Amino acid sequence: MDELTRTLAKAREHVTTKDDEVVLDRQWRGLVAKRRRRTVVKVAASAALVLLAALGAWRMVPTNAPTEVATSPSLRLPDGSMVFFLDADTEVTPRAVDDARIELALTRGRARFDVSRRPERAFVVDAEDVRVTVVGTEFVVAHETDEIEVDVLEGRVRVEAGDEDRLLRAGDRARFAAHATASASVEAPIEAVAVGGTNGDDTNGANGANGANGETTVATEDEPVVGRPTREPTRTVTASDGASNGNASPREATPAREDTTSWRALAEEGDFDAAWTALAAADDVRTTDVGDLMLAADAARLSGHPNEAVTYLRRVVDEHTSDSRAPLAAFTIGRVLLRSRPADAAEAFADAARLDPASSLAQDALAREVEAWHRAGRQERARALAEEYLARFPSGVRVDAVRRFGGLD
Amino acid sequence: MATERKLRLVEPGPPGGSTVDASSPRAEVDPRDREAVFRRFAPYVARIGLRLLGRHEEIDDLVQDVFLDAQRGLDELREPGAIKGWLATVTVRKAQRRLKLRRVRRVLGLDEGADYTQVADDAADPTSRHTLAKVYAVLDSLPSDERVAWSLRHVEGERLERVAELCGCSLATAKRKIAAAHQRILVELEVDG
Repeated sequence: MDELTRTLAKAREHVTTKDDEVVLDRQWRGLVAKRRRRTVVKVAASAALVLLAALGAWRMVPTNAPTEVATSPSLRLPDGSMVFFLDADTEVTPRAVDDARIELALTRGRARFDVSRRPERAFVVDAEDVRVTVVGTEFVVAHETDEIEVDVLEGRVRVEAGDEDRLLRAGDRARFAAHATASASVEAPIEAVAVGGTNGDDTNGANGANGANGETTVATEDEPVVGRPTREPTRTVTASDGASNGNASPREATPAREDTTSWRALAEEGDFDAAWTALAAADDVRTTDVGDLMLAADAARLSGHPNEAVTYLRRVVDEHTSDSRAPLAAFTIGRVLLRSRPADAAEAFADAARLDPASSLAQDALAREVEAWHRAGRQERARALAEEYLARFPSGVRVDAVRRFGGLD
Repeated sequence: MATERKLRLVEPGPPGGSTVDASSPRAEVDPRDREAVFRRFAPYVARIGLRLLGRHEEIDDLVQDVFLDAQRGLDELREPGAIKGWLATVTVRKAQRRLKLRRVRRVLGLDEGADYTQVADDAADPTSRHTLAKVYAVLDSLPSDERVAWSLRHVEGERLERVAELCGCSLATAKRKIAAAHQRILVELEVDG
């Protein structure tokens, strides 16, 4: 046994983690939030598959529906563009990354590309023999067995596939044959390959874990998760539990918290569409219970009813100002309104920062307020706040975005 | 000389060094009781994760990913004693993916490394802290498969057979990976093996 081995045999006991209840609670809350979001993504993916099957004969499918639930980036590129892995086995290989050109290869799975607007830099994604070239936009490329699907969420992209050369606009979705010819040339990728796995599972906001995010240690643009720290941990018996055990489960002795068809149970299971339907019918949100309001907001927001979500969140902010969840409620209002009512969103972000000025959320809120004022056309205000952000958080995780939206680049 | 080093590496780990197979006097949990399993084994997953990744800030996320991915397997387990082993397998797999992604980020200039003097807990003596910091810095330059195999053997203290099992490779391959990593670390640390 060499000296290093002996030293490590003694030192290994010091490589350990704290396992107190606070840490466990934080991790558990993050896990519940991740599970919920993963369920939403699965439901969205299943719905998309059904839709595609129904429209199988169509090569072009215009749509205004968002393809994926917003998630956190798996890869953030030096120019500020972000890549979101949408499948567990997504593989993206960087081929060229410099000021003039970013060229990536999607070799497996699906990924969403949120490309920063830099006209001087070409952004190219190759998937087999299909090449997607963009200037500034947001789009999804799905690598399937024989086809490549491109779904444009914002802006425009040019797609070259064999003899086809097509311009797609926001809302367009098109499918192309993966292989134009049998002898398609493929550039040798560099050694490193990014392997997806946890995109959409980010817990940055959920667990407050120092910005740890999916598979990344770099800055992210993700959305904090609405947590319910005072709610009792959910003990849900799933269908598979019951099916796999013919005997009485120990948990069956525990009184059920909720009827499994109630909107609360459905929301906690991640079935937000059904939860919203049940909520609309029951109309029994306990307005004195912040957890109930937050859960109702989740059900509304994640089932496509943002305005109703804002109503619940606003009650938290206005009527439960001293509650620890009020800042997060304000922040979420900002996120919901950011594109449709950016000035209102800016005010909500300001509320979030004001309600909990010492938290990491306040840093995020200030950055988002810069973005919101920029979107509202209040550039002077955005710039002033951007300067404030850079002064207060010179190494903040959103420095690049703040500089961009504040017009300081 | 190199052959002697490899031979030394196949010696069994230190007595009691293996934590994966350590039995626990605590009551067994139902594998299908998600929260009970989490609260019982999350600290264990976190510790293996830290030993493989070396970065405290990534551990919460790793633990959550492991339990999400492990759930399907846990639902199928009928033997509570198998929970720990299954979680270790998933943890190693997830950690390996993270390390691959970390290497990609390094290629892109997005990973600036970490302060590995924080790997050891507050009770560590200066020598241990210093050695661990240097070792983890070197580990960042190794291929992820070699790194994981070596870390399981020398930091987690696993038996070689278990390392091979967790890494999904043959015993001979596991030994080769560990030896390659060890050689590289020794050279980097300029330790006279």
